[in-house]
Amino acid sequence: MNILVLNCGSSSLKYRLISMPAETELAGGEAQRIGPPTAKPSRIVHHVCGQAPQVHIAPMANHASAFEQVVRILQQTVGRTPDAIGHRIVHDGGLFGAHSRLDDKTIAQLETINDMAPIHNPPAVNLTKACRKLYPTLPQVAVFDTVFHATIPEAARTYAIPGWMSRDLGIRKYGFHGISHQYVATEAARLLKRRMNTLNAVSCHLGSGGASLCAIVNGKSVDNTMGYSPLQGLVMSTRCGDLDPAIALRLMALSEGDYKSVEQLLNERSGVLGLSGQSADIRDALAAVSRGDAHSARPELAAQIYLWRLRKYLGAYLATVGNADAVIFTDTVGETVPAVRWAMCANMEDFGLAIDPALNDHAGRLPTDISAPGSRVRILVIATNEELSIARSAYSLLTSESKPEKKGVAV
Amino acid sequence: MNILVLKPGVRSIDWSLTGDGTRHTRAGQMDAAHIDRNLQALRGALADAPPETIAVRVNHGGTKFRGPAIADASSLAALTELVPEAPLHLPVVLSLLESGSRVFQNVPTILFFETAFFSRLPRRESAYGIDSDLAQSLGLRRQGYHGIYHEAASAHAIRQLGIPPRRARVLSICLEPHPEIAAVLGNRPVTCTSGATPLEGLPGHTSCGELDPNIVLTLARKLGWGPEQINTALTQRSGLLGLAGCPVMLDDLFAAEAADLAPARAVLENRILSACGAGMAAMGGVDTLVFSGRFHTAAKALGPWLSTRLTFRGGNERHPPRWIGFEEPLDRVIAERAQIVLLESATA
Repeated sequence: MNILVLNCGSSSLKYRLISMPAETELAGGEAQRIGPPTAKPSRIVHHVCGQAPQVHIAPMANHASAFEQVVRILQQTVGRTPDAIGHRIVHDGGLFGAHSRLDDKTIAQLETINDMAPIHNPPAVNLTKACRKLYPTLPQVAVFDTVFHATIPEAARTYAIPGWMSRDLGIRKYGFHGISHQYVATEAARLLKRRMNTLNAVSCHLGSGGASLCAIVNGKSVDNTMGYSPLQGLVMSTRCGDLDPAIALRLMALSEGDYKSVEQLLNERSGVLGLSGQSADIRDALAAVSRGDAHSARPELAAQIYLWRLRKYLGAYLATVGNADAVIFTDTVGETVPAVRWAMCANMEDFGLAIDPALNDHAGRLPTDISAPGSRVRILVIATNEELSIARSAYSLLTSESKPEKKGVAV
Repeated sequence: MNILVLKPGVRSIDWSLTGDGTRHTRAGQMDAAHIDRNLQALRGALADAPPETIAVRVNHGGTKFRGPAIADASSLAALTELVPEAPLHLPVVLSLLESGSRVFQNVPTILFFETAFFSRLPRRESAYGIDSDLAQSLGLRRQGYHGIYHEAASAHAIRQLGIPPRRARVLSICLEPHPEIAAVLGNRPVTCTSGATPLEGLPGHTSCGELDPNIVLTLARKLGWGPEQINTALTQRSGLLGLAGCPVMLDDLFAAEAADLAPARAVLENRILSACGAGMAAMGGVDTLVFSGRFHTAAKALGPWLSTRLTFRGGNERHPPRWIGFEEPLDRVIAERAQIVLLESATA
């Protein structure tokens, strides 16, 4: 079965055609600058596996027309059309609780929760509608970032607010980055030769934009640093992470009740960018510190706060998990910045965790284990592969549907 | 020596008189609205044991007060400047000090600040992930609100440990209506669960504790509420009250028979364990846990459980963290420190 995995950004569409269950990637690419015409034309950077990437220029007013172009290019270059589509959708709003087959009913349900992930969900949901219109019979599956966190126990997902607020407004911890956390945890179990349902770990998805830690017990998520929205938790590139609710209130009062401007401030102009005043990339702040720039006081503070929050959450989740088998690092920062891994894992011997400085500095080919000899907890660096994770989930759902006797996956 | 301890709140002022070698001889509460009249009545009631020193607990001292201070013209001027940072509390404190100097003439008065212990919190802990210029202009920094307890309890725990104080790693768990956990590394706090206000951190009797900041904005968007309405809901109707649906005190929560409170208890335990793990990572380990505050008896349930949960195979299993209770009430702690401050100022 060839599954086309689609991952919507606000003005981009990443795609990957993967043959399942062999997990062979056939082709992939990214449609860029989707939307109204700009000075630079919208284009698709496409590659067939084993070949150099090609650039296709085409007007793409919206994600639906980008999708049509992608299907056309796939037919031309690979000579195949997909047998199914796996959509990455960030938020299930607690409505589904499992990756789900998309039909008119489920798409309509998804549209009711657009406000819970106003940046991420609407373009993806619109795309599901377009795909269904173009290929009504093609099976489509929604793979959610929140679903891996559906197992977070009530004690960890409940905020201490009046009960009616939680019930009526759906305010609870949902957790995000689940597709990636699930993928690297599965890989870690494989590397450690353990069954997934016996794996205890802390997974650190440290992206160049968003980042979250996930506590995993018996292969299931039991906590995530992100909460009701992706704003909570770690200091991120432009997001503030944890904040005294009274500060949000104070900012709201200062802006005379204009909560949208506060939302924008906390999501887009805070985090590493707000602290350093220069760059949203933690790697720039770390580089300024190691160069000892004369004007590095603010970047240095940004780096310190970023690293300190990470270290504290690692400790919090090692305590939550109990005796973890592994700490897993993944995504851009987690895979490529040794200084971040070091700041988190050095001097953590009391947790049964010891990092090897040389292995950390030269992680090389992934996956790899950078723990010191004698460290009971393994420290693994694993390249995430969200597209493959989506293809696996979609394949598992579609094949279990066709075998009614196997009731392992909820629809 | 008779020491009068005054703890001004927003609407009322608690007082107690501590005498030589005894526990509280007398204690009571007065309305904050008529301070002058109430203090005169108090002076009359204490005519047989007139206070020789007055110790005042002040909730907020910002970054100006890094330790106790004798109430004099310069400390009052500094306190007046801090009013915008604690507009509900400090005016009561200032009126109390003004009246106190008239009613109890020539009785030395010492100020003890709940925030002083946290004035040396490292910047990486005290700063938020927001624009640093904005944070500075609004004075937004993390601090603690039970510093007097944390300082006394952690010093007590360090004495019990018998290791060099500089190396001691203490998790100080203060069980008050607004509970607070601080990691204390060699007498210095390195983490604190509370934030720029007591709203952040662990859920309290009626305060929400940590929240996704987006929730505040969602309440504004979905309910059309303004900041004051949201503030009331989060400070007065949340926490254990919000979770359990009825007023709950910390000691009841951790009592063995409280089966109906199990969900609320599980939430608080989850947050406490996380905060302890975070503090342990901040210090690179933990030697001892110390429980203080008016609900310190909950340590009987929490102490053994936390000690087990903070012991790691292949890690600190040979030296699991100990736990102890610090049972001194706040007034007693303040009175004892007042004597020390007086002694030091006399010998200086």
